[in-house]
Amino acid sequence: MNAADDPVVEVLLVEDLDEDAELTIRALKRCKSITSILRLPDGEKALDYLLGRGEYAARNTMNYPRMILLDLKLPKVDGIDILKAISTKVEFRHIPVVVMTSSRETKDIARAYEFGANSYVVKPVDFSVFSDVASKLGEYWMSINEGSPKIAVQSPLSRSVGG
Amino acid sequence: MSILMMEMKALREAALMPQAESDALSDEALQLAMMNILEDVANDKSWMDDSQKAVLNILEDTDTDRNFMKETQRAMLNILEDTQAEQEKLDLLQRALVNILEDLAVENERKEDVNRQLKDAKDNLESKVNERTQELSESNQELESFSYSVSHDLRAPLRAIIGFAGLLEEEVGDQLGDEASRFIDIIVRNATKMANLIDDMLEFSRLGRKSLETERIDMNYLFEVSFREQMQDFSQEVTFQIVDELPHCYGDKAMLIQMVNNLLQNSIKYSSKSNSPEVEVGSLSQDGRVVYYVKDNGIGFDNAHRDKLFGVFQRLHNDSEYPGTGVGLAIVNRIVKCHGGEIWADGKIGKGATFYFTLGVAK
Repeated sequence: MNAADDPVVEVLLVEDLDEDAELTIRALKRCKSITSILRLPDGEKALDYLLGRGEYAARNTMNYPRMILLDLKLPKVDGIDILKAISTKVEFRHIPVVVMTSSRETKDIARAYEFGANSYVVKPVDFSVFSDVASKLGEYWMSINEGSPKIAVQSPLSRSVGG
Repeated sequence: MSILMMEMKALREAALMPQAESDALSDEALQLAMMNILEDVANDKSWMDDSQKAVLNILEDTDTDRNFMKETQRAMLNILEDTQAEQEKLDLLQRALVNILEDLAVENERKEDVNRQLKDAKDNLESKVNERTQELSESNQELESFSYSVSHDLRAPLRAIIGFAGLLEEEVGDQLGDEASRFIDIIVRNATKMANLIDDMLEFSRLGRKSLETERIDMNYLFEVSFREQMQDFSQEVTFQIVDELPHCYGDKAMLIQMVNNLLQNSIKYSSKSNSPEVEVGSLSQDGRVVYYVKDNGIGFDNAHRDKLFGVFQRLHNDSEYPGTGVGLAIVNRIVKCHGGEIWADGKIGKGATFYFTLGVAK
């Protein structure tokens, strides 16, 4: 695996719906501070990526994404399971995880926070609101929020590797 | 020896005397003796009479005694008879008692039987209830997962429709004519409406699954805060007043907040076209219960349609005039029912509407 196969990922978007993913990516791209987004369509792939398994076996798992945008209802491994997996690894706890989902069920919201979500956002149906929310999220977590040094230290390194 | 017998003896002795001696007795003496004898016989006879009389008396007495005895006997017989009757009665009584006891035993047995049957029925019922509860909780779970997928899966396509229609507008809007832009608007507006319908429907079904968490609620505070919140998205001036102090109630705070929100939203919406919209909240006492009311001076409604007010997706007014999903009052109705209360409304076209409700929850 060469550097080109292990590009820098600033935002890891775990979203099974193509349309939602496209809209989200569009909105995130408005945010100047975001230069790279990786979208994965299911929970299993997301875990493979984070843990360096399967098709990502050769990946340097120390290259943490600066934020994870996570849908809850995902095929194979759902969002809560990913949150659980993240919370069991100390290094991963430094990655901000924003749950972005359709569900407004209080049970889902409570469970998301219980397993370590840093933020919970209900996907707005209205397009302009949706774009606005996605942009604001990117803006906040990538620019306004001061990320953990554990991740910030990794970022310039991986950026130089990834080109 | 009686006198008579003595005289007779004397006479016989004289007769047996030797001739010489008898000859010596004079006729006179014989006569005397005879006289004596006769006299004695007379005496004896009177004595005998007396005796006979005495015997007769005795007999008479005996007779009386016998009568008396007979009577006594009869009385005794009567008594015996009576006793026998009494005995018979006692026997009857005893038999009756035995019968009663027997009946009681039978009754007891029957009672035990019934008790057994009751217990069986109760056990049966219990297992049936458990079964049904299990079924209910299963169907409840099904419903929950159903509404979960509704919230997730039904909204996603709408988001795509609205999103990509929006993108179309954004990307090529300037190249589209007014008509094409209007079509995009219609697409977006209707998809948005459907999304709202789904949200309200979800809210409505969520209410049915929620359990009450009862606490003391200050209704004045609830109405005041809710009104202020409603007015934030409302440009028009609305006069709001709470008549006197509202009595507090016991209920689920989250539910009651929603109920008050929906009621006020309803009143504000339908009075928004009045010259000076007014919403009044108050309470009255009726049959020992507190009745709260929310009154407006809006367009009102015909009382003939009041049954439809609280139905899901039932609307009495045009959507373009008064936008809404037709779920708001259905939610209010459900919340009131959850609290064991009642809700009803009174209206007149052009003269406003009043919604009354009670909350049946005791402390």
